[in-house]
Amino acid sequence: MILPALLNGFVWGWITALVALGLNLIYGILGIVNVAHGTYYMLGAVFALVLQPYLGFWGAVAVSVLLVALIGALSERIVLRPLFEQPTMTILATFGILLTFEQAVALTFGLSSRSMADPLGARFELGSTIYPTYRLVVALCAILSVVGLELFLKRSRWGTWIRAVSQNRELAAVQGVPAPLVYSLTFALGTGLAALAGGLTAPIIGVHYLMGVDIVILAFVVVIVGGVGNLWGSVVVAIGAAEVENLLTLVTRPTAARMITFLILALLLVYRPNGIFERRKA
Amino acid sequence: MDQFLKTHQLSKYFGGVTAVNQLDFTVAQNEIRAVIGPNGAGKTTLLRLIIGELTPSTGKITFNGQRIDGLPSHKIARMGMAKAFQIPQIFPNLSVYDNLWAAAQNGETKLWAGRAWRKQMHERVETVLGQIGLIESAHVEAGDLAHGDQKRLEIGLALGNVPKLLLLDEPTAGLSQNETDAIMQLIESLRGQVTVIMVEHDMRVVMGLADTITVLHFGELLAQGTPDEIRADPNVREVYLSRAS
Amino acid sequence: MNLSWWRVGGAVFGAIGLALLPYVLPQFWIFFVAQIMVWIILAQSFNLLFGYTGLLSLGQSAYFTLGAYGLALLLRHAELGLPLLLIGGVLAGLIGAAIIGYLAVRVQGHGFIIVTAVPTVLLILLGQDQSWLTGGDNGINLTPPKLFGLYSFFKPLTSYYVVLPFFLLMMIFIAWLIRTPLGQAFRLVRENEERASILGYNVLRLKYIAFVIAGGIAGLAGALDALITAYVVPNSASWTISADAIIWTLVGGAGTLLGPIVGTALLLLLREFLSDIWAYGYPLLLGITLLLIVRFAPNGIIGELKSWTSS
Repeated sequence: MILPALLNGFVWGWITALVALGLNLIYGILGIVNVAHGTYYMLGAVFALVLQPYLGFWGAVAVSVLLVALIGALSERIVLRPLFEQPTMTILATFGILLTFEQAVALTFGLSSRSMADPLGARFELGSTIYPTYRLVVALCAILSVVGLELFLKRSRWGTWIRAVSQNRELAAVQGVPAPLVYSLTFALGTGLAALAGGLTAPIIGVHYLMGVDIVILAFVVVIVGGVGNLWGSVVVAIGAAEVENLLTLVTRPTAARMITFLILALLLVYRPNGIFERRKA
Repeated sequence: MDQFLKTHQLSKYFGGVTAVNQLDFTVAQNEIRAVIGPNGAGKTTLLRLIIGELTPSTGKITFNGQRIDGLPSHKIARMGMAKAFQIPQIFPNLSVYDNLWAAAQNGETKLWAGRAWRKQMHERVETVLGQIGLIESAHVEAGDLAHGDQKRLEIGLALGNVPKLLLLDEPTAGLSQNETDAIMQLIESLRGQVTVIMVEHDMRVVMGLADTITVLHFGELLAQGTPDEIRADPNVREVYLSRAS
Repeated sequence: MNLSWWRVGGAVFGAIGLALLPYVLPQFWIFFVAQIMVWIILAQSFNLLFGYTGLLSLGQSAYFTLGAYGLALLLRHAELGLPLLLIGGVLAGLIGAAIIGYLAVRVQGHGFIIVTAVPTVLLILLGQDQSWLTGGDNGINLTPPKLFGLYSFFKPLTSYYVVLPFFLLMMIFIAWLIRTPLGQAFRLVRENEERASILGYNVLRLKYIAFVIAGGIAGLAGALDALITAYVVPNSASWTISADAIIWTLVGGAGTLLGPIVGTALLLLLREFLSDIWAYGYPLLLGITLLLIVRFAPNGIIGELKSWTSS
């Protein structure tokens, strides 16, 4: 029973990591408390669902990610950019985005959950039980995406720009980095990651207009506990938390497992507000 | 009281930088003391240490006979100390009157405010309004004031709770000649009633007001004395005055 | 700070109007107005923290739910009269806020916002886990006691005349609080924390006090809601419910006394009217309205009116 639990933790950890990474980029670089982040996750699932009959599962997910990234970039450009110097108003604007998209989806697709078929339909043997292959594929996709993100940030020109802006906005501007482009790009990247997570999980948990509501709080907590700006920190905390939760389900009820895990994260948040990986200054 | 404000071997380190280094600094009661020095000499850091915005890395600070190093700034403020920031830190959406009222309230957070207390507060606010020359602007939102008036309000906020020790961080920075004169008159009017420690770059202001001048360099005491003594001090000239405006 | 005669007069007029309103309204609307008053109380809870003290809390719904369950559990397991039940609800909110606030106000910057949302998630999880106590996702149906042993809460009129005095009491309380030296100090935290600290204000303590009081107010709203709807459910702690209160307050005008009243009433009425014509229209409209308000009228209706009249 341990092995499936560990695997589940691994898979869900990587999914949460994707969402958290996207948020880390947006919050860490742009300083925007994007409470609508879960909405982009949801949109990723919705678009994947809609496009699947036309493009197949993987095509649908890919296009969904691009669509949501575009919407994200537009959100930043049209709604958030004018509010740049007003952090509180920005947060409230993200509320507006959340409501608008959430309700647009509810309007179009209804209030109940829609399911999506497992694209692989395969299982493999895991000790004494069987485990859906698709979930492992999801984890693999997530890992590849994170590695891709790392490479993008470290090797590509745009990635360097993003890193420059995150470290020192004024200096980057002086060096000729086009800040507005970086802002839109970062938002697109962040929301795209969330959409990828949403699209990938749709076959597992279904598609529902409210599916982003809970994951956004978790993502924020993961980002802060892992350290804002610390991308691998988010990954470690996301996977760690998912593993803890899934292992706890072996000894207690799922709701209790979730609660205890969240409580641990919450306490870490309060006692280490700069993240658990911060180095203390002497 | 001779040692109204006293620091003993006061040091402050920021990572690898030593902002203030083993400083022994004493100010007598009702003295007007100017602290000058090149940029980065530790002047603003010294003020921030005194009012408790920063905690000393080492050393002691005594105010009116009491140890204050390590105390939170709101406690130190209520002991009778006040500071005017270099860049005005006002309450932008409140009127000038309400800004000064907040200062006069001196951190009091009681629930019951009797008529006598309110009367006292009104009187205090009106006195300070007169001192800083903002009577006409009393009901303007502080955020709408011009820079010069905001500087005056800033000093008004520092005066609000009738402080015994007033810390001024570049009170005339960015002001015109006339505005500077007005501030100088204001500070002069406080002589004998309030102890003033003033960080300044404008030599005219320093020479015109200070009883004693302390010169800091790299967080250490370079020279200290009357304006004439400092003017004549070759070390000071070399480091600072030759570069001054 | 003087209370102008206009304001007092207006308030008295409003109170009398509210007291007489049920005589001209059909049953459904009587209950609806009672519900609006309950939500206004929640909005005021948020307003105290955000509008006055500058603390953006996503978690007032948590204390709302604590208040609701405080009342519900007391009702189930103890023989208590109405006043004590309501006090129990308020206490639940106060105590919850006292515990969580102690940790929350120490978190600087944006972390605070997220920290306030955390108890909402924990509370829902706890509610789902301990469903024997809380009814899980289905909640608990209550049988409220009869008012004075005579009037049943299933009659809208009873609900209305129980909520009304508490609503008025709450408004008077807040109006009084913001005029005290303590209340005036809250604004300083919003305007310039650093400055307030240097002026002698214990900013941390102020934040904490505001947080606890707001928790009590939210608890009252929850307890009243439990009473008039005869229903409690853990999901009422969802941060999206906090978000509703936030939007109502912002549209009406944060930092003003009337703002949450106007905003909540207006938007809830709008929702009611739209629900007949176009069910989903309301939330969609709300989202767009919020975006417009944030961009062009950040002070909300009352705030903009105030700017207009003073210039």
